[in-house]
Amino acid sequence: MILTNHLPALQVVVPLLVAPLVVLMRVRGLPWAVATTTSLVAFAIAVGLTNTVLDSYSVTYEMGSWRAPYGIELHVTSFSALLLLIVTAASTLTLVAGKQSIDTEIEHDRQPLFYAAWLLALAGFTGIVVTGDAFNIFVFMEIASLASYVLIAAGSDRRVLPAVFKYLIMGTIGATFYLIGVGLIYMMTGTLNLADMEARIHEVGELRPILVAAGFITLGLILKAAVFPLHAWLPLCYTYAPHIVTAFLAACSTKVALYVLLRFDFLVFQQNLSAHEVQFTVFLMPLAVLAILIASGVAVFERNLKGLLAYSSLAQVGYILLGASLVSVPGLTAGLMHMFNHALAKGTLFLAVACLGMRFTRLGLVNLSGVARQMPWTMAAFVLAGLSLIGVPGTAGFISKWMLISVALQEGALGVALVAVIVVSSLLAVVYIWRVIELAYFGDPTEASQLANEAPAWLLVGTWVAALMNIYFGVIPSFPLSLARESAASLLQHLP
Amino acid sequence: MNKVDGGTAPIVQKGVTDQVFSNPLPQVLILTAIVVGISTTALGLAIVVRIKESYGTIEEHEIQNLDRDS
Repeated sequence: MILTNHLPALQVVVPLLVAPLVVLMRVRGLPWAVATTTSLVAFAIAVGLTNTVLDSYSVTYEMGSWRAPYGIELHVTSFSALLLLIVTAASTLTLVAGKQSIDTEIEHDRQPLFYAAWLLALAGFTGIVVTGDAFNIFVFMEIASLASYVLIAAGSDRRVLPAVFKYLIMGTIGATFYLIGVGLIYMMTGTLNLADMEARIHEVGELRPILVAAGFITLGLILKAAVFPLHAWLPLCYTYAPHIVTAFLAACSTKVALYVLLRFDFLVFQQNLSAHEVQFTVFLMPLAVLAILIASGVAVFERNLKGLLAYSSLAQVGYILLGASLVSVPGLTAGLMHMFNHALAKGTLFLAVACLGMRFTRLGLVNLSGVARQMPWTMAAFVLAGLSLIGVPGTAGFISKWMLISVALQEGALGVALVAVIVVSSLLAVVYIWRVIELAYFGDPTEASQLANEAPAWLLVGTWVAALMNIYFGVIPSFPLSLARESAASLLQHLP
Repeated sequence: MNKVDGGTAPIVQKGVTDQVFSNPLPQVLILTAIVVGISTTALGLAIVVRIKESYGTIEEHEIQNLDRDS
């Protein structure tokens, strides 16, 4: 038995098995150490899988040696590798840096449960990404969602509870819609394996149940991905969740839902439903444009720092979807690059927020007035990531926005309108990031911000590692670019 | 969906090779979905209990009023 052959399974199984063990660890600090180590192992496995995927086209693994259409098959492509890297890196970095922040927000005796939920969320997200089985995706989606509800509900502000309840209801509706769609497809094709489904669905592609299934699956997943106008659960959850949890979930949870959406729409439905790409564009492009404009607009008027960043996240989901809704290889590449770059920028911003959260109990913008004098390093990292979010040259955000704009310009009159949308929303991003910067650097210090001192060194190091990654991937984007290009090409291989 | 006319329970038996059997998969899927449903309901109710503990009410408009005041 060679261990490397089992990497796809280990990616999910390791955090899944360690999670119940963590519950039993009552020694102070031990749950954190074990969870962080596990997350690090998961990251190493993801790197290993990425290497394999870059060498050969894709990796398949048969669970329990059951042959593919009958048993559950794990299927790792370059697209999965991109997502695996985002998820495991976000989890590892936030855990390593975030210990002190978690310690201040979560009581000691609840911590084993908190870290167990974290590992379950990690297992769920990686499970969704590696599996090649439609029902398996549903199960992992529920594992990830239930664990995220628990993580979010760990926030200390009581307003988190109604917010998380709303998320639970909407998340369950989304997952149920997805399940109804999968059920309909199973009824028509008799298979749950995505690759098998892709091969068989064309025989029944024109029948109504398949169309209904496509509708249910798309709708369920855009609810999970918080695409406007089904985004209502996201801002409050991100605002009141523990800071580190927000950093982790903002970097990966909506992106994993988008991953399933793109995989279903492009691999399963694309070549089997007539004019599917037109429907995809007509349905999702307006939603993407609305998300970009409205969410950026709301962010300008938001008074809470985390709420502001949460609305900005909604706008970024719009960018990713806009790239995908062009249904062309360069467009999708741009969208996937933005997935990667937004995870970097937003992860950094929320880590900087966690730094601020160590010194402030309230994160309203007014509370933060004049804080940059006391916490210069934190605010410098915030500014750096903010520039990346806006898309200033030299940062990661610039690469993907530039790609989006240059792709849109090839689309004629529509493309010009899209470029206008992107430019307007980037200007809005300048406005809302500037609001934070202006207050923090030039505002009169409040009592709280005069007493504040720099965040703990370890948390600051983590934030800066993330911030410098924004610069690194802004100057040398070849690695995510090659993954994104390959994923886009394989997703759209059947395009007419 | 799972019932096949004339099918028996899907159990492998020695020496029996020509038996028609029903499809076991839909039942497995439903069972899993039920388990997922139960855990979601349990978690939802647990959150409702915590809302009651911290707000003293589970009426939505009262919660909104309390939030507005704070």
